[in-house]
Amino acid sequence: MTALNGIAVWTGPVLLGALAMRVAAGAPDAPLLVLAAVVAPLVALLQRPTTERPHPVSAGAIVISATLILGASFVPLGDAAQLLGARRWQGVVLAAALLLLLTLSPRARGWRAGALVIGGTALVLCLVTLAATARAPWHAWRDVATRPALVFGARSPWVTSGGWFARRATLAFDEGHRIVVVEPGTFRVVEQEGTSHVVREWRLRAGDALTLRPGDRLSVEAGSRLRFEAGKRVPGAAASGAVWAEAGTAPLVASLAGVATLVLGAISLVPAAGRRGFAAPATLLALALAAACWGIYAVATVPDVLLGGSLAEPLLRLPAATSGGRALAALAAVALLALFLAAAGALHDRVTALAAARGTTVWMAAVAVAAVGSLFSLDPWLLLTAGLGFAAATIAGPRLAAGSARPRAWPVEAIGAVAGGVAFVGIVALGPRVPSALSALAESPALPAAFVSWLAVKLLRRSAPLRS
Amino acid sequence: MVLLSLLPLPLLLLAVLPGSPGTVRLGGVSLAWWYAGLVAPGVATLVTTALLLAFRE
Repeated sequence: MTALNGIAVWTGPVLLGALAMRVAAGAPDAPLLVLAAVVAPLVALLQRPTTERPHPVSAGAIVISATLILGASFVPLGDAAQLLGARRWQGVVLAAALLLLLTLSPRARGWRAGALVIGGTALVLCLVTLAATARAPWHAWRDVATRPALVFGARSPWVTSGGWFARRATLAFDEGHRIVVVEPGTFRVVEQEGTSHVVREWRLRAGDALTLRPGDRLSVEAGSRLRFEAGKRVPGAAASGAVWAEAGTAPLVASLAGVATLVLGAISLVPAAGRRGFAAPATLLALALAAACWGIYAVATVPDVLLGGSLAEPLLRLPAATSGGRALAALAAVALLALFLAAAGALHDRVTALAAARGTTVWMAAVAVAAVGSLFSLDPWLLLTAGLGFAAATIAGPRLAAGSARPRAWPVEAIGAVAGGVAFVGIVALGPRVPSALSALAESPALPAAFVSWLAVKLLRRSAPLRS
Repeated sequence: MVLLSLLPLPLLLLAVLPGSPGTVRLGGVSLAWWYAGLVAPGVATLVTTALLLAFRE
């Protein structure tokens, strides 16, 4: 596997889309996430190549992680299908069919790196066009930073025809809003009455209006469509451009745990660079910066793009809102599909290499599970971090503990993988029951679980005899 | 690998130091963003490329 093929697993639509969304939202962890997204795979490229065939337990862990990441990667394609007027399942089925056609065809070779180059070039080309026809990213950043508020534009689909919520959302209102329901549904409003809260549920038909006051919170189910008033603040967006630019401070422990999840996940899934791997770092840098710039342009041009919760929406709506929009939107759609294929192709290589003779069957099962799972409106970022976290707990922890020491008679890395996997699942299952002092670690279960697997391997290696 | 893994630390320091130096604007863009979006990723990319080229030789 070339280094470009290897990093393609990292530069899928979910990570790049999440970077763009976090930057556009002015999230406190956005700068750190952009930096970690570049640094984590670079660390992985420099790791020692593994020559030993992994134990079936470790191979199984990789398959589970790959399935979770693949499921995450299908979600933006389903979202894109719905945003383009088709159905979610049609986008997912089309993507899965194309993926299986490419990965199972014995004659199709070299397409993985090609897909990454096409996807990356299309993404960067869109940005260069935006920069050439509108303004440079830092000018867009300065423009947003001076705005008194981030508001709905008069031509936004959230104002004209109605925006679509890809995921369930709770919107907090800082000012009065009058919203109109486009498709019938049940809406839950938590109203603030002095110091107490009143919960009301409204069953509304298409065309019904709902008035919300400052302090109200509206829960919206996935698939709902609503219209907002032009000129009103976007619920959930930063209070002003200055607040967006300053971004605030993310909690230290959660930030460190997040970085650790990305670095350990990358060590597990991105292979060491080969002799011709020196193009990979520049590619990673270009794509991560392109995603960050995309987020800046998105908030500058279409600040309501965050509302629906779809990672595909900034990619498709930003070009459409600019001059020459149709051609650019088509280019962005090509980028989305090509980056998905490149990422899924890299996962295919990992899965089939580990599963040996049963590789094709295991791969087809993974694609089927991931595609079906993506039909439910799951959060793709949650799926991606779950996949990376599980890989960190089961692969990176044992690998870092074993180092380059001589192999033992016992499968210590496999035992470590089981310990890490059980710890990861246990922490996720405990969830809210974890004491508040440890809640930051519970939100990033990869770090404590990877430590458990690392410790297990370290302890076992002391007592396990050397392999003869 | 250790050097690369330590690159996010100055960003965390910029956020927790008194006076929030990360929010200081240079050319209209905050110091945190200059570091996270340009300086540190650039350094990481250069160091990794140099190391990969050295391994190759």
